[in-house]
Amino acid sequence: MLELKDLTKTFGPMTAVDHESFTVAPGEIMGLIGQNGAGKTTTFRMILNFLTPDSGTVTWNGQPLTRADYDMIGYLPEERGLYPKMRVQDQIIYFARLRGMKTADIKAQIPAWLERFQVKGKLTDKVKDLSKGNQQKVQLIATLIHMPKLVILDEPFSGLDPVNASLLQDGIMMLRDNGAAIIYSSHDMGNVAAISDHLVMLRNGATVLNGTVDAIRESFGRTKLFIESPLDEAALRAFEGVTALTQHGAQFELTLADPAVGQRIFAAATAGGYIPEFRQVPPSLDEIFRMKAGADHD
Amino acid sequence: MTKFWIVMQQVYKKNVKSGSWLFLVLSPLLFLGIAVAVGWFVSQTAAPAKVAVITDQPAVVRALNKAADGDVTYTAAAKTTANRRLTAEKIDGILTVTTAPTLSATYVERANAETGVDTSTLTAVLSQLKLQQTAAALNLSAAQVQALVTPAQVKKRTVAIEAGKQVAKNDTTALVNRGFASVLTVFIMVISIVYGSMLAQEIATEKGSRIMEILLSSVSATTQFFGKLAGILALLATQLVVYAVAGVVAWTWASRQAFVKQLLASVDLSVLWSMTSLLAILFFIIGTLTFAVLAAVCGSLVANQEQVNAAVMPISLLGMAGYMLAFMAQTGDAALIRVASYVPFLSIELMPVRLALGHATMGAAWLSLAVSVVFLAGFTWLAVNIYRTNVLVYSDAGMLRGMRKAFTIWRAERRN
Repeated sequence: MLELKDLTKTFGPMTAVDHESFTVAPGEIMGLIGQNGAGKTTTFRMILNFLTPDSGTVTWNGQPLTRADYDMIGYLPEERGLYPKMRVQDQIIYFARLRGMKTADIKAQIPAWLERFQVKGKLTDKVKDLSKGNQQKVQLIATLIHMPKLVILDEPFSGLDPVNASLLQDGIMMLRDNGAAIIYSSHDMGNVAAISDHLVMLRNGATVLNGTVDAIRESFGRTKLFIESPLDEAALRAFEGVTALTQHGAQFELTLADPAVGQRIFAAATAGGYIPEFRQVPPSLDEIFRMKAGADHD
Repeated sequence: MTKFWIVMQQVYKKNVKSGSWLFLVLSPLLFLGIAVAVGWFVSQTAAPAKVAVITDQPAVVRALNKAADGDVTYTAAAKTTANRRLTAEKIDGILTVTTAPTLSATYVERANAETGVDTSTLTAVLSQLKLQQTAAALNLSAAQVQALVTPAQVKKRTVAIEAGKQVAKNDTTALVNRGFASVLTVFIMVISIVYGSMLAQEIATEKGSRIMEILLSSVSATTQFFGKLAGILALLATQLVVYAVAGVVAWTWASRQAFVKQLLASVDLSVLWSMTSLLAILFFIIGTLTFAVLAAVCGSLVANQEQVNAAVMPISLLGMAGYMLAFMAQTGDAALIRVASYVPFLSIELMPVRLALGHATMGAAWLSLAVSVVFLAGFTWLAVNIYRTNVLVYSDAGMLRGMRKAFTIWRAERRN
């Protein structure tokens, strides 16, 4: 289990990470979200021992991470890099050997991984001759082939098309089922909602959200209402507590000041019997992200 | 296998197969080989020139053939035969020797013959004959002839001042030492710049392409730093072994060649098997290491691939500065040269040259070497620290800004 306790890091006058705490258990996927400069990469770098925290601790199964733990880490940096002139196979072999794998084992496993991520290209191709998407997949394979127990992925979905993004999702799930503790950062809230068990949001180094996806959403209350009923725009606006309204065809999307307003609208809308849609939900992660990220701009 | 070895092996394997390294190693051998082969081929295929001698004295022909030593064949012939054969281009020249009133000769040669016939040799041979004939006519004894022809003697001795004493030096020693010094300087400069650039490029490329972060999450920066250094040095060692093997092979062949034997007998190569040589090798090793460490630091400063050339610049500049100073050192031992020969980076080229030329004492050289070793130790410690911080700093605002940012991080890290 990875545990961050009260982690703080400053660079001169700037506080990059401020009293950050969370845990990632084996078989759990944690999404770290936040705008650029929120402190995600600094967090990763402190976990990886690239940077020493000013205060607080990072532990793995209760012990500080040491050099001996390097072999069970899989790390994909935000900005991808491979040796352009090296052959695909040599590249994967080099990175995997640095994680303590034997050359023969690596060679035996490469084909299955190329298949899993549907890499188009031969093992003997030079990396620079592959398309950008395929290069990214090769990098992912190099990150994951040694079946790490702690996986750190910095923006793994950026630059992937939906098909490849779902391949990556499958890969992440596979590692989770294999008992890996996975932590990744993302801007794409769709992916975050789909695969994260747990979520932490940073803003200017401070933790603004921390919990499971459902718990975080519920904590905002069911303030979103999607409704298709005989009530027209004017009727809906007339309810006290409707703060925003948008129309999508026959459907209206309402933002409520208080979840309780929903009951009054439901009563009025169903007065005449059947209606096709009434759905009251908490705000989406995307909306929460925007709400939280924009808070200091208000 | 430890990660150190994996990193070292990777650097070595990647470069040893690269075209630029193979060219670096093989091109000097290739050019040297071609030059030697051409020279050897020409000397083997050149047939002796044929010269007809028109004379009534067979002794002249015998003496000429003896002096020519196989390069030219002199044959006695009648005037008409000789002219006919020359016109038919069967022979290369005609030497007409007349004995009366006094021994004289005329040599006619075809313009395109390009023979090794040398008029001064002809003159010497005929003068000798004339001397014998005159001596015989004057009834001079062998001793009298000897007394007449012995010229006045002028002897030259070259001495070097070593430890306050005059030490005899062969006339060619100074020349050989000078040659040794210039070859040494060029060699050290080329090696330190080329291998330094190679290492800087290696690290800069990894950092510029962000491979560095992946590497750092699998091996410590220190292991990686020394692994890379060792890989590049192994590459250098390979080059030296290739040259050593080529040298031994060439030597076994060359030492059997007559002209090489003659050359070796006339020069004093003691400088090659002396303390000077040993010190030069030590300076070379320490110097290359120092340059390599500098290269690693320079390489770690870049933020992207475009800055790689700028990162290599300090290495080339320092290498060239040492070379220029070493070149100046050959013309005189100025104060600047003397001081610079104790300065790390410059001393590796300068001190061996001053030593070979006899401008510096052994003690001074050892002192300079000690300075270099101490500097290398401190510099390496500093470099590893800079490297560890630098490899994580990306500043597109240029290398200086990057260095400032690295310093902030370094200070923040030191506090903890």
